[in-house]
Amino acid sequence: MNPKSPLDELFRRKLSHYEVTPSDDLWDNIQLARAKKPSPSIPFWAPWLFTSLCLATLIYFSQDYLIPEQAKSTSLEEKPLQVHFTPKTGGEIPTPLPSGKTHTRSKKVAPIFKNSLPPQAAIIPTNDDIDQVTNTANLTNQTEQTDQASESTFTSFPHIATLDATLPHELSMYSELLPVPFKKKLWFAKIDFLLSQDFVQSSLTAKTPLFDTYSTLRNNQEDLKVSNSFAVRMGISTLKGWGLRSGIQYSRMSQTLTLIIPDAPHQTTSKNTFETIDIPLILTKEQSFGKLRAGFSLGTYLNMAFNQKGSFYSPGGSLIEFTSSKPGSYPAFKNRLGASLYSGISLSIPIGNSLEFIAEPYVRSRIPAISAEDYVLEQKIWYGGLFIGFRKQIGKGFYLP
Amino acid sequence: MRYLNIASPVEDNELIQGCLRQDRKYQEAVFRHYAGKLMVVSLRYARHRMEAEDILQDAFIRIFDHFDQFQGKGSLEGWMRRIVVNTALKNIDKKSFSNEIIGLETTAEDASGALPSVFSQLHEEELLQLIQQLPDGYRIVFNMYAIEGYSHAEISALLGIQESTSRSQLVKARKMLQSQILESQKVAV
Repeated sequence: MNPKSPLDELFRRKLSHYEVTPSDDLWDNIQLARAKKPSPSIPFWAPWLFTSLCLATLIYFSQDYLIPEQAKSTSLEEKPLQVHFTPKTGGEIPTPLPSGKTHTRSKKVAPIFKNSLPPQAAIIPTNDDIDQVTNTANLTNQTEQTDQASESTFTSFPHIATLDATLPHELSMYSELLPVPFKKKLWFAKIDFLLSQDFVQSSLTAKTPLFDTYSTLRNNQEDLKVSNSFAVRMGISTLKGWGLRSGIQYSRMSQTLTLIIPDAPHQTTSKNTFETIDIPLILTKEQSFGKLRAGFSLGTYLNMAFNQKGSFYSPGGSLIEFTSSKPGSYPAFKNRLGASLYSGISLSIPIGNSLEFIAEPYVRSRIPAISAEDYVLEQKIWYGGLFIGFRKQIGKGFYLP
Repeated sequence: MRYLNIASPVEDNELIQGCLRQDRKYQEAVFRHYAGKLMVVSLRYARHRMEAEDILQDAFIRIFDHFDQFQGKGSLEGWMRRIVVNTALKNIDKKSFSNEIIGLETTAEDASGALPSVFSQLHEEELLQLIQQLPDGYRIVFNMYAIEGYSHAEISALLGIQESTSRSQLVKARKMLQSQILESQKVAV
Protein backbone atom coordinates (compact mmCIF):
# COMPACT_ATOMS: atom_id res chain seq x y z
CA MET A 1 0.00 0.00 0.00
CA ASN A 2 1.31 3.42 -0.89
CA PRO A 3 2.10 5.72 2.03
CA LYS A 4 -0.58 8.35 1.64
CA SER A 5 -0.40 11.94 2.61
CA PRO A 6 -3.51 13.65 4.03
CA LEU A 7 -3.68 15.58 0.81
CA ASP A 8 -3.85 12.37 -1.23
CA GLU A 9 -6.55 11.02 1.06
CA LEU A 10 -8.57 14.18 0.70
CA PHE A 11 -8.56 14.02 -3.08
CA ARG A 12 -9.22 10.30 -3.14
CA ARG A 13 -12.11 10.47 -0.66
CA LYS A 14 -13.85 13.40 -2.25
CA LEU A 15 -13.44 12.36 -5.86
CA SER A 16 -14.06 8.62 -5.57
CA HIS A 17 -17.84 8.96 -5.61
CA TYR A 18 -18.10 12.19 -7.49
CA GLU A 19 -19.86 12.11 -10.87
CA VAL A 20 -19.93 14.53 -13.78
CA THR A 21 -22.45 14.00 -16.54
CA PRO A 22 -20.84 14.01 -19.96
CA SER A 23 -22.43 15.93 -22.82
CA ASP A 24 -25.67 14.60 -24.28
CA ASP A 25 -24.25 13.68 -27.64
CA LEU A 26 -21.39 11.52 -26.33
CA TRP A 27 -23.39 8.29 -26.57
CA ASP A 28 -24.39 9.15 -30.15
CA ASN A 29 -20.76 9.87 -31.02
CA ILE A 30 -19.67 6.53 -29.58
CA GLN A 31 -22.28 4.70 -31.64
CA LEU A 32 -21.29 6.58 -34.78
CA ALA A 33 -17.60 5.94 -34.26
CA ARG A 34 -18.23 2.23 -33.66
CA ALA A 35 -20.41 2.01 -36.74
CA LYS A 36 -17.73 3.64 -38.89
CA LYS A 37 -14.96 1.51 -37.46
CA PRO A 38 -13.80 -1.06 -40.01
CA SER A 39 -13.94 -4.73 -39.19
CA PRO A 40 -10.78 -6.22 -37.68
CA SER A 41 -8.03 -5.20 -40.02
CA ILE A 42 -6.24 -7.73 -42.18
CA PRO A 43 -2.49 -7.86 -41.53
CA PHE A 44 -0.70 -5.56 -43.98
CA TRP A 45 1.31 -8.42 -45.43
CA ALA A 46 -1.68 -10.70 -46.03
CA PRO A 47 -2.72 -9.22 -49.41
CA TRP A 48 0.93 -9.27 -50.52
CA LEU A 49 1.32 -12.91 -49.52
CA PHE A 50 -2.04 -13.89 -51.02
CA THR A 51 -1.37 -12.17 -54.34
CA SER A 52 2.17 -13.55 -54.47
CA LEU A 53 0.91 -17.09 -53.98
CA CYS A 54 -1.77 -16.57 -56.63
CA LEU A 55 0.77 -15.21 -59.09
CA ALA A 56 3.24 -18.00 -58.42
CA THR A 57 0.50 -20.63 -58.82
CA LEU A 58 -0.78 -18.99 -61.99
CA ILE A 59 2.60 -18.75 -63.62
CA TYR A 60 3.42 -22.34 -62.68
CA PHE A 61 0.27 -23.88 -64.08
CA SER A 62 0.02 -21.50 -67.02
CA GLN A 63 2.91 -23.35 -68.64
CA ASP A 64 0.69 -26.32 -69.44
CA TYR A 65 -1.98 -24.19 -71.04
CA LEU A 66 0.48 -22.27 -73.12
CA ILE A 67 1.81 -25.30 -74.95
CA PRO A 68 0.23 -25.66 -78.37
CA GLU A 69 -1.74 -28.80 -79.07
CA GLN A 70 0.73 -29.81 -81.73
CA ALA A 71 3.57 -29.85 -79.31
CA LYS A 72 1.51 -31.47 -76.59
CA SER A 73 0.87 -34.53 -78.68
CA THR A 74 4.54 -35.04 -79.32
CA SER A 75 5.94 -38.07 -77.57
CA LEU A 76 8.31 -40.89 -78.17
CA GLU A 77 5.59 -43.39 -78.93
CA GLU A 78 3.62 -41.18 -81.28
CA LYS A 79 5.34 -38.79 -83.61
CA PRO A 80 8.54 -37.59 -82.11
CA LEU A 81 9.77 -34.32 -83.33
CA GLN A 82 12.92 -34.51 -85.33
CA VAL A 83 14.88 -31.51 -86.30
CA HIS A 84 17.65 -31.63 -88.82
CA PHE A 85 20.55 -29.39 -88.40
CA THR A 86 23.69 -28.99 -90.37
CA PRO A 87 26.50 -28.34 -87.96
CA LYS A 88 29.04 -25.95 -89.22
CA THR A 89 32.60 -27.12 -89.23
CA GLY A 90 35.57 -25.05 -90.13
CA GLY A 91 34.73 -22.43 -92.71
CA GLU A 92 31.99 -24.52 -94.22
CA ILE A 93 28.84 -22.69 -95.14
CA PRO A 94 25.67 -24.65 -94.34
CA THR A 95 23.43 -25.42 -97.26
CA PRO A 96 19.72 -26.14 -97.30
CA LEU A 97 18.82 -29.78 -97.37
CA PRO A 98 16.63 -31.26 -100.03
CA SER A 99 13.11 -31.67 -98.74
CA GLY A 100 12.42 -34.97 -97.06
CA LYS A 101 16.03 -35.94 -96.59
CA THR A 102 18.31 -35.93 -93.67
CA HIS A 103 21.76 -34.48 -93.93
CA THR A 104 24.29 -37.21 -94.12
CA ARG A 105 26.44 -35.70 -91.43
CA SER A 106 23.59 -35.40 -88.99
CA LYS A 107 24.60 -36.73 -85.62
CA LYS A 108 22.20 -38.93 -83.69
CA VAL A 109 21.50 -38.23 -80.08
CA ALA A 110 19.74 -41.19 -78.57
CA PRO A 111 17.50 -41.80 -76.88
CA ILE A 112 15.25 -38.88 -77.67
CA PHE A 113 13.98 -37.15 -74.55
CA LYS A 114 10.78 -38.72 -73.41
CA ASN A 115 9.75 -36.33 -70.73
CA SER A 116 12.65 -34.13 -70.02
CA LEU A 117 16.22 -33.51 -70.83
CA PRO A 118 18.75 -32.94 -68.08
CA PRO A 119 19.44 -29.28 -67.48
CA GLN A 120 23.05 -29.76 -68.50
CA ALA A 121 21.77 -30.45 -72.02
CA ALA A 122 20.94 -26.80 -72.35
CA ILE A 123 23.83 -25.47 -74.28
CA ILE A 124 24.06 -21.87 -75.24
CA PRO A 125 23.83 -21.46 -79.00
CA THR A 126 26.54 -19.76 -80.95
CA ASN A 127 25.80 -17.08 -83.50
CA ASP A 128 26.51 -19.62 -86.23
CA ASP A 129 23.85 -21.91 -84.83
CA ILE A 130 21.36 -19.12 -84.95
CA ASP A 131 22.23 -18.32 -88.55
CA GLN A 132 21.59 -21.85 -89.46
CA VAL A 133 18.32 -22.16 -87.66
CA THR A 134 17.10 -18.98 -89.29
CA ASN A 135 17.18 -20.90 -92.52
CA THR A 136 13.82 -22.63 -92.40
CA ALA A 137 14.96 -25.21 -94.90
CA ASN A 138 16.97 -26.78 -92.11
CA LEU A 139 13.89 -27.50 -90.11
CA THR A 140 11.61 -30.34 -91.05
CA ASN A 141 9.07 -32.35 -89.21
CA GLN A 142 9.35 -36.02 -88.55
CA THR A 143 5.81 -36.54 -89.79
CA GLU A 144 6.93 -35.73 -93.32
CA GLN A 145 9.69 -38.28 -93.24
CA THR A 146 8.12 -41.67 -93.30
CA ASP A 147 11.39 -43.41 -93.94
CA GLN A 148 12.65 -42.37 -90.53
CA ALA A 149 9.45 -42.56 -88.55
CA SER A 150 10.54 -45.60 -86.64
CA GLU A 151 13.78 -44.03 -85.56
CA SER A 152 13.51 -42.31 -82.24
CA THR A 153 16.32 -39.99 -82.75
CA PHE A 154 17.02 -36.36 -82.37
CA THR A 155 19.17 -35.34 -85.25
CA SER A 156 22.07 -33.29 -84.19
CA PHE A 157 20.94 -29.89 -83.05
CA PRO A 158 22.59 -29.56 -79.70
CA HIS A 159 21.88 -25.90 -79.24
CA ILE A 160 18.25 -25.59 -80.19
CA ALA A 161 17.06 -25.67 -76.61
CA THR A 162 18.05 -22.11 -76.01
CA LEU A 163 17.28 -20.87 -79.45
CA ASP A 164 14.67 -18.33 -78.48
CA ALA A 165 16.94 -16.73 -75.94
CA THR A 166 18.87 -14.87 -78.52
CA LEU A 167 16.61 -14.77 -81.52
CA PRO A 168 14.54 -11.81 -82.53
CA HIS A 169 10.97 -12.14 -81.38
CA GLU A 170 9.70 -12.86 -84.87
CA LEU A 171 11.64 -16.09 -84.83
CA SER A 172 10.09 -17.34 -81.65
CA MET A 173 7.62 -19.18 -83.90
CA TYR A 174 10.24 -21.87 -84.26
CA SER A 175 10.08 -22.49 -80.59
CA GLU A 176 6.79 -24.23 -81.38
CA LEU A 177 8.95 -27.03 -82.70
CA LEU A 178 10.70 -27.50 -79.41
CA PRO A 179 9.77 -30.56 -77.41
CA VAL A 180 7.33 -30.04 -74.55
CA PRO A 181 9.74 -30.60 -71.70
CA PHE A 182 12.03 -27.92 -73.07
CA LYS A 183 9.21 -25.43 -73.40
CA LYS A 184 8.19 -26.01 -69.82
CA LYS A 185 11.48 -25.11 -68.31
CA LEU A 186 13.15 -22.52 -70.47
CA TRP A 187 13.40 -19.11 -68.84
CA PHE A 188 15.10 -15.84 -69.57
CA ALA A 189 16.47 -13.46 -66.99
CA LYS A 190 16.10 -9.73 -67.51
CA ILE A 191 16.89 -6.65 -65.49
CA ASP A 192 14.97 -3.38 -65.67
CA PHE A 193 16.25 0.07 -64.73
CA LEU A 194 13.32 2.43 -64.42
CA LEU A 195 12.58 6.01 -63.50
CA SER A 196 9.12 7.37 -63.05
CA GLN A 197 7.24 10.56 -62.50
CA ASP A 198 4.13 9.88 -60.45
CA PHE A 199 1.10 11.80 -59.35
CA VAL A 200 -0.24 10.95 -55.95
CA GLN A 201 -3.79 11.47 -54.83
CA SER A 202 -4.59 11.15 -51.15
CA SER A 203 -7.81 11.06 -49.18
CA LEU A 204 -8.22 11.90 -45.52
CA THR A 205 -11.03 10.36 -43.51
CA ALA A 206 -11.88 11.19 -39.91
CA LYS A 207 -11.84 8.19 -37.60
CA THR A 208 -14.51 9.81 -35.43
CA PRO A 209 -17.21 12.31 -36.41
CA LEU A 210 -15.51 14.86 -34.15
CA PHE A 211 -12.85 15.33 -36.79
CA ASP A 212 -15.08 15.43 -39.86
CA THR A 213 -14.65 19.19 -40.22
CA TYR A 214 -10.90 18.85 -39.83
CA SER A 215 -10.68 16.15 -42.49
CA THR A 216 -12.74 18.29 -44.88
CA LEU A 217 -10.40 21.24 -44.29
CA ARG A 218 -7.34 19.12 -44.95
CA ASN A 219 -8.86 17.48 -48.04
CA ASN A 220 -9.66 20.90 -49.50
CA GLN A 221 -6.25 22.27 -48.64
CA GLU A 222 -4.03 19.45 -49.89
CA ASP A 223 -3.71 19.14 -53.64
CA LEU A 224 -2.18 16.53 -55.85
CA LYS A 225 1.28 15.49 -54.79
CA VAL A 226 4.17 14.65 -57.10
CA SER A 227 6.47 11.73 -56.62
CA ASN A 228 9.66 10.49 -58.26
CA SER A 229 10.66 6.86 -58.20
CA PHE A 230 13.66 4.80 -59.13
CA ALA A 231 13.33 1.06 -59.52
CA VAL A 232 15.55 -1.88 -60.31
CA ARG A 233 13.60 -5.02 -61.16
CA MET A 234 14.92 -8.46 -61.90
CA GLY A 235 12.65 -10.74 -63.80
CA ILE A 236 12.34 -14.14 -65.36
CA SER A 237 10.08 -14.81 -68.29
CA THR A 238 9.02 -17.69 -70.46
CA LEU A 239 9.04 -18.18 -74.20
CA LYS A 240 5.41 -17.15 -74.30
CA GLY A 241 6.00 -13.87 -72.56
CA TRP A 242 4.79 -14.76 -69.06
CA GLY A 243 7.08 -13.33 -66.47
CA LEU A 244 7.58 -12.65 -62.81
CA ARG A 245 9.49 -9.58 -61.63
CA SER A 246 10.74 -8.39 -58.30
CA GLY A 247 13.31 -5.92 -57.05
CA ILE A 248 13.45 -2.70 -55.12
CA GLN A 249 11.96 0.73 -55.65
CA TYR A 250 12.57 4.02 -53.89
CA SER A 251 9.99 6.81 -54.10
CA ARG A 252 10.02 10.34 -52.76
CA MET A 253 6.71 12.13 -52.71
CA SER A 254 6.71 15.90 -52.33
CA GLN A 255 3.95 18.38 -51.70
CA THR A 256 3.87 22.13 -51.37
CA LEU A 257 1.17 23.33 -49.00
CA THR A 258 0.04 26.92 -48.74
CA LEU A 259 -1.30 27.38 -45.25
CA ILE A 260 -3.36 30.36 -44.26
CA ILE A 261 -2.90 30.75 -40.54
CA PRO A 262 -5.60 32.76 -38.79
CA ASP A 263 -4.30 36.09 -37.47
CA ALA A 264 -1.00 35.63 -39.32
CA PRO A 265 0.13 38.53 -41.54
CA HIS A 266 0.89 36.33 -44.53
CA GLN A 267 0.51 32.85 -45.92
CA THR A 268 2.92 30.13 -44.93
CA THR A 269 4.29 27.63 -47.39
CA SER A 270 5.34 24.22 -46.25
CA LYS A 271 7.27 21.76 -48.38
CA ASN A 272 6.36 18.30 -47.20
CA THR A 273 8.08 15.09 -48.25
CA PHE A 274 7.27 11.43 -47.75
CA GLU A 275 9.57 8.54 -48.65
CA THR A 276 8.86 4.88 -49.34
CA ILE A 277 10.89 1.81 -50.19
CA ASP A 278 8.99 -0.90 -52.02
CA ILE A 279 9.59 -4.51 -52.92
CA PRO A 280 7.43 -5.26 -55.95
CA LEU A 281 6.24 -8.69 -57.01
CA ILE A 282 4.70 -8.43 -60.46
CA LEU A 283 3.25 -10.91 -62.93
CA THR A 284 3.64 -9.86 -66.56
CA LYS A 285 2.36 -11.15 -69.88
CA GLU A 286 3.75 -9.74 -73.07
CA GLN A 287 2.99 -10.26 -76.72
CA SER A 288 4.89 -9.20 -79.83
CA PHE A 289 3.31 -6.89 -82.38
CA GLY A 290 6.02 -6.56 -84.98
CA LYS A 291 8.95 -4.97 -83.21
CA LEU A 292 6.79 -3.66 -80.42
CA ARG A 293 6.08 -5.81 -77.40
CA ALA A 294 3.07 -4.95 -75.30
CA GLY A 295 1.59 -6.53 -72.24
CA PHE A 296 0.14 -6.09 -68.82
CA SER A 297 1.67 -6.13 -65.37
CA LEU A 298 -0.24 -6.99 -62.22
CA GLY A 299 1.14 -7.41 -58.77
CA THR A 300 1.71 -6.29 -55.25
CA TYR A 301 4.20 -4.04 -53.53
CA LEU A 302 5.41 -4.64 -50.00
CA ASN A 303 6.47 -1.24 -48.76
CA MET A 304 7.84 0.79 -45.92
CA ALA A 305 6.77 4.41 -45.53
CA PHE A 306 9.37 6.44 -43.64
CA ASN A 307 10.99 9.82 -43.12
CA GLN A 308 7.88 12.01 -43.39
CA LYS A 309 8.83 15.68 -43.11
CA GLY A 310 6.79 18.86 -43.06
CA SER A 311 3.91 20.75 -41.48
CA PHE A 312 0.16 21.05 -41.70
CA TYR A 313 -2.80 22.35 -39.75
CA SER A 314 -3.47 20.65 -36.44
CA PRO A 315 -7.06 19.87 -35.42
CA GLY A 316 -6.78 22.99 -33.26
CA GLY A 317 -6.10 25.15 -36.31
CA SER A 318 -2.44 25.91 -35.71
CA LEU A 319 0.55 25.12 -37.87
CA ILE A 320 2.33 22.04 -36.55
CA GLU A 321 5.33 20.05 -37.66
CA PHE A 322 4.84 16.33 -38.17
CA THR A 323 8.43 15.33 -39.08
CA SER A 324 8.53 11.70 -38.02
CA SER A 325 12.23 11.63 -37.15
CA LYS A 326 12.00 14.67 -34.89
CA PRO A 327 11.27 13.91 -31.22
CA GLY A 328 8.18 15.71 -29.99
CA SER A 329 6.71 16.27 -33.45
CA TYR A 330 3.01 15.82 -34.02
CA PRO A 331 2.53 12.02 -34.24
CA ALA A 332 0.58 11.90 -37.49
CA PHE A 333 3.05 9.58 -39.23
CA LYS A 334 5.27 6.70 -38.24
CA ASN A 335 7.46 4.30 -40.16
CA ARG A 336 4.81 1.91 -41.40
CA LEU A 337 4.90 -1.31 -43.36
CA GLY A 338 2.18 -1.79 -45.90
CA ALA A 339 1.19 -3.33 -49.19
CA SER A 340 0.01 -1.88 -52.49
CA LEU A 341 -1.79 -3.30 -55.48
CA TYR A 342 -0.13 -2.53 -58.80
CA SER A 343 -1.33 -2.66 -62.40
CA GLY A 344 0.38 -1.37 -65.50
CA ILE A 345 0.64 -1.66 -69.25
CA SER A 346 4.13 -2.45 -70.45
CA LEU A 347 5.40 -1.37 -73.86
CA SER A 348 8.89 -2.19 -75.08
CA ILE A 349 10.89 -1.93 -78.26
CA PRO A 350 14.32 -3.43 -78.99
CA ILE A 351 17.05 -0.83 -79.32
CA GLY A 352 20.18 -2.93 -79.31
CA ASN A 353 21.69 -6.26 -78.55
CA SER A 354 19.44 -7.75 -75.84
CA LEU A 355 18.41 -4.25 -74.84
CA GLU A 356 14.90 -2.82 -74.90
CA PHE A 357 13.42 0.57 -74.18
CA ILE A 358 10.42 0.30 -71.85
CA ALA A 359 7.51 2.58 -71.06
CA GLU A 360 5.03 1.43 -68.45
CA PRO A 361 2.08 3.58 -67.43
CA TYR A 362 0.69 2.33 -64.14
CA VAL A 363 -1.62 2.88 -61.18
CA ARG A 364 -0.94 1.75 -57.64
CA SER A 365 -3.05 1.84 -54.51
CA ARG A 366 -1.65 1.47 -51.00
CA ILE A 367 -3.94 -0.73 -48.92
CA PRO A 368 -3.22 0.43 -45.34
CA ALA A 369 -3.15 4.14 -44.55
CA ILE A 370 0.20 5.95 -44.48
CA SER A 371 -0.84 7.88 -41.38
CA ALA A 372 -0.14 6.55 -37.89
CA GLU A 373 -2.67 4.10 -36.45
CA ASP A 374 -3.57 6.35 -33.53
CA TYR A 375 -3.81 9.55 -35.58
CA VAL A 376 -7.29 11.09 -35.74
CA LEU A 377 -7.38 10.92 -39.55
CA GLU A 378 -6.77 8.04 -41.90
CA GLN A 379 -4.74 9.06 -44.94
CA LYS A 380 -4.82 6.74 -47.94
CA ILE A 381 -2.94 7.26 -51.19
CA TRP A 382 -3.08 6.23 -54.86
CA TYR A 383 -0.25 6.60 -57.33
CA GLY A 384 -0.45 6.99 -61.07
CA GLY A 385 2.57 7.49 -63.28
CA LEU A 386 4.81 6.44 -66.12
CA PHE A 387 7.88 4.29 -65.74
CA ILE A 388 10.45 4.68 -68.46
CA GLY A 389 13.76 2.88 -68.69
CA PHE A 390 15.71 0.03 -70.13
CA ARG A 391 15.45 -3.75 -70.01
CA LYS A 392 18.54 -5.82 -70.50
CA GLN A 393 18.51 -9.55 -71.00
CA ILE A 394 21.12 -11.23 -68.84
CA GLY A 395 22.95 -13.99 -70.69
CA LYS A 396 20.96 -16.63 -72.55
CA GLY A 397 18.03 -18.78 -71.62
CA PHE A 398 18.31 -21.18 -68.72
CA TYR A 399 16.51 -24.02 -67.04
CA LEU A 400 15.25 -23.99 -63.53
CA PRO A 401 16.44 -26.97 -61.51
CA MET B 1 -36.71 5.38 -24.38
CA ARG B 2 -36.47 3.31 -21.25
CA TYR B 3 -32.95 2.48 -20.10
CA LEU B 4 -32.04 -0.62 -18.18
CA ASN B 5 -31.49 0.05 -14.53
CA ILE B 6 -28.60 -1.44 -12.64
CA ALA B 7 -29.17 -1.89 -8.99
CA SER B 8 -27.74 -5.24 -7.99
CA PRO B 9 -24.88 -7.62 -8.86
CA VAL B 10 -27.43 -9.93 -10.47
CA GLU B 11 -28.52 -7.19 -12.81
CA ASP B 12 -24.84 -6.33 -13.34
CA ASN B 13 -24.25 -9.89 -14.55
CA GLU B 14 -27.20 -9.62 -16.90
CA LEU B 15 -25.67 -6.42 -18.22
CA ILE B 16 -22.32 -8.12 -18.81
CA GLN B 17 -23.99 -10.94 -20.70
CA GLY B 18 -25.87 -8.39 -22.82
CA CYS B 19 -22.67 -6.52 -23.65
CA LEU B 20 -20.93 -9.75 -24.53
CA ARG B 21 -23.69 -10.32 -27.08
CA GLN B 22 -22.99 -6.78 -28.38
CA ASP B 23 -26.61 -5.90 -27.57
CA ARG B 24 -26.86 -2.14 -28.00
CA LYS B 25 -29.57 -1.81 -25.33
CA TYR B 26 -27.27 -3.26 -22.67
CA GLN B 27 -24.31 -1.23 -23.94
CA GLU B 28 -26.32 1.94 -23.54
CA ALA B 29 -27.32 0.88 -20.03
CA VAL B 30 -23.64 0.42 -19.13
CA PHE B 31 -22.85 3.82 -20.59
CA ARG B 32 -25.67 5.57 -18.72
CA HIS B 33 -24.75 3.91 -15.46
CA TYR B 34 -20.99 4.40 -15.49
CA ALA B 35 -20.39 7.44 -17.72
CA GLY B 36 -20.63 9.94 -14.81
CA LYS B 37 -18.01 8.20 -12.68
CA LEU B 38 -15.72 7.51 -15.61
CA MET B 39 -16.05 11.11 -16.77
CA VAL B 40 -14.47 12.18 -13.47
CA VAL B 41 -11.57 9.79 -14.06
CA SER B 42 -11.16 11.21 -17.54
CA LEU B 43 -11.40 14.82 -16.28
CA ARG B 44 -8.64 14.17 -13.76
CA TYR B 45 -6.23 13.18 -16.53
CA ALA B 46 -7.31 15.71 -19.13
CA ARG B 47 -6.52 19.42 -19.27
CA HIS B 48 -10.06 20.40 -20.09
CA ARG B 49 -13.54 19.01 -20.57
CA MET B 50 -13.30 18.61 -24.34
CA GLU B 51 -10.19 16.48 -24.04
CA ALA B 52 -11.84 14.48 -21.27
CA GLU B 53 -14.83 13.68 -23.48
CA ASP B 54 -12.52 12.56 -26.29
CA ILE B 55 -10.73 10.24 -23.87
CA LEU B 56 -14.03 8.90 -22.55
CA GLN B 57 -15.37 8.31 -26.04
CA ASP B 58 -12.26 6.38 -27.08
CA ALA B 59 -12.36 4.43 -23.83
CA PHE B 60 -16.00 3.38 -24.29
CA ILE B 61 -15.27 2.28 -27.85
CA ARG B 62 -12.45 0.11 -26.54
CA ILE B 63 -14.64 -1.18 -23.72
CA PHE B 64 -17.41 -2.33 -26.06
CA ASP B 65 -15.03 -3.63 -28.72
CA HIS B 66 -13.10 -5.73 -26.20
CA PHE B 67 -15.80 -6.62 -23.75
CA ASP B 68 -14.92 -10.30 -24.09
CA GLN B 69 -11.63 -9.53 -22.34
CA PHE B 70 -13.43 -8.73 -19.09
CA GLN B 71 -12.80 -11.87 -17.08
CA GLY B 72 -15.08 -11.04 -14.17
CA LYS B 73 -12.25 -11.30 -11.62
CA GLY B 74 -12.80 -7.80 -10.32
CA SER B 75 -15.67 -5.36 -10.63
CA LEU B 76 -16.86 -4.18 -14.00
CA GLU B 77 -16.36 -0.59 -12.85
CA GLY B 78 -12.73 -1.26 -11.88
CA TRP B 79 -12.02 -2.83 -15.26
CA MET B 80 -13.61 0.11 -17.07
CA ARG B 81 -11.68 2.63 -14.95
CA ARG B 82 -8.41 0.96 -15.93
CA ILE B 83 -9.35 1.26 -19.60
CA VAL B 84 -10.13 4.96 -19.17
CA VAL B 85 -6.77 5.52 -17.45
CA ASN B 86 -4.91 3.55 -20.12
CA THR B 87 -6.66 5.50 -22.86
CA ALA B 88 -5.69 8.76 -21.20
CA LEU B 89 -2.09 7.62 -20.82
CA LYS B 90 -1.87 6.62 -24.48
CA ASN B 91 -1.57 10.19 -25.63
CA ILE B 92 0.86 11.32 -22.97
CA ASP B 93 4.01 12.94 -24.22
CA LYS B 94 7.07 11.79 -22.29
CA LYS B 95 8.43 15.30 -22.39
CA SER B 96 5.71 16.24 -19.91
CA PHE B 97 7.80 14.65 -17.20
CA SER B 98 10.87 16.74 -17.83
CA ASN B 99 9.08 20.08 -17.36
CA GLU B 100 10.18 21.72 -14.15
CA ILE B 101 8.52 24.58 -12.37
CA ILE B 102 10.95 26.86 -10.61
CA GLY B 103 10.28 27.33 -6.92
CA LEU B 104 8.78 23.89 -6.32
CA GLU B 105 12.00 22.12 -5.35
CA THR B 106 11.09 20.38 -2.16
CA THR B 107 11.46 17.20 -0.13
CA ALA B 108 9.04 14.32 0.16
CA GLU B 109 8.07 15.29 3.70
CA ASP B 110 6.86 18.75 2.80
CA ALA B 111 3.33 17.73 1.97
CA SER B 112 2.93 14.94 4.48
CA GLY B 113 1.87 16.98 7.50
CA ALA B 114 -1.67 17.69 8.75
CA LEU B 115 -3.78 19.78 6.45
CA PRO B 116 -5.33 23.10 7.38
CA SER B 117 -9.07 22.83 7.95
CA VAL B 118 -9.82 24.89 4.84
CA PHE B 119 -8.75 21.93 2.73
CA SER B 120 -11.65 19.73 3.80
CA GLN B 121 -14.12 22.50 2.98
CA LEU B 122 -13.26 22.33 -0.69
CA HIS B 123 -15.90 21.02 -3.05
CA GLU B 124 -15.30 18.18 -5.47
CA GLU B 125 -15.52 20.48 -8.45
CA GLU B 126 -12.83 22.75 -7.01
CA LEU B 127 -10.55 19.78 -6.35
CA LEU B 128 -11.03 18.64 -9.91
CA GLN B 129 -10.14 22.07 -11.25
CA LEU B 130 -7.02 22.14 -9.09
CA ILE B 131 -5.86 18.83 -10.56
CA GLN B 132 -6.55 20.01 -14.09
CA GLN B 133 -4.40 23.08 -13.54
CA LEU B 134 -1.35 20.98 -12.72
CA PRO B 135 1.28 20.56 -15.45
CA ASP B 136 0.83 17.31 -17.42
CA GLY B 137 3.55 15.29 -15.68
CA TYR B 138 2.51 16.34 -12.16
CA ARG B 139 -1.15 15.71 -12.88
CA ILE B 140 -0.62 12.23 -14.25
CA VAL B 141 1.69 11.01 -11.53
CA PHE B 142 -0.52 12.51 -8.78
CA ASN B 143 -3.60 10.82 -10.24
CA MET B 144 -1.91 7.48 -10.64
CA TYR B 145 -0.25 7.43 -7.24
CA ALA B 146 -2.59 9.34 -4.96
CA ILE B 147 -5.97 8.37 -6.39
CA GLU B 148 -5.56 5.20 -8.48
CA GLY B 149 -3.10 3.69 -6.00
CA TYR B 150 -0.28 2.71 -8.38
CA SER B 151 3.20 2.37 -6.88
CA HIS B 152 6.15 4.36 -8.23
CA ALA B 153 7.53 1.17 -9.78
CA GLU B 154 4.26 0.61 -11.63
CA ILE B 155 4.09 4.24 -12.75
CA SER B 156 7.66 4.01 -13.94
CA ALA B 157 6.85 0.92 -16.01
CA LEU B 158 3.58 2.25 -17.40
CA LEU B 159 4.93 5.65 -18.39
CA GLY B 160 8.45 4.64 -19.30
CA ILE B 161 10.04 7.07 -16.85
CA GLN B 162 12.47 6.66 -13.96
CA GLU B 163 11.05 5.87 -10.52
CA SER B 164 12.92 8.89 -9.19
CA THR B 165 11.14 11.06 -11.76
CA SER B 166 7.80 9.70 -10.59
CA ARG B 167 8.64 10.46 -6.94
CA SER B 168 9.85 13.93 -7.76
CA GLN B 169 6.77 14.73 -9.87
CA LEU B 170 4.48 13.55 -7.05
CA VAL B 171 6.18 15.69 -4.45
CA LYS B 172 6.02 18.73 -6.68
CA ALA B 173 2.39 18.06 -7.54
CA ARG B 174 1.44 17.93 -3.85
CA LYS B 175 3.39 21.10 -3.14
CA MET B 176 1.75 22.91 -6.03
CA LEU B 177 -1.74 21.78 -4.99
CA GLN B 178 -1.17 23.00 -1.44
CA SER B 179 0.10 26.35 -2.67
CA GLN B 180 -2.88 26.75 -4.99
CA ILE B 181 -5.38 25.91 -2.27
CA LEU B 182 -3.81 28.33 0.19
CA GLU B 183 -3.61 31.00 -2.49
CA SER B 184 -7.29 30.56 -3.40
CA GLN B 185 -8.29 30.85 0.27
CA LYS B 186 -6.32 34.09 0.61
CA VAL B 187 -8.12 35.50 -2.40
CA ALA B 188 -11.48 34.37 -0.98
CA VAL B 189 -10.73 36.08 2.34
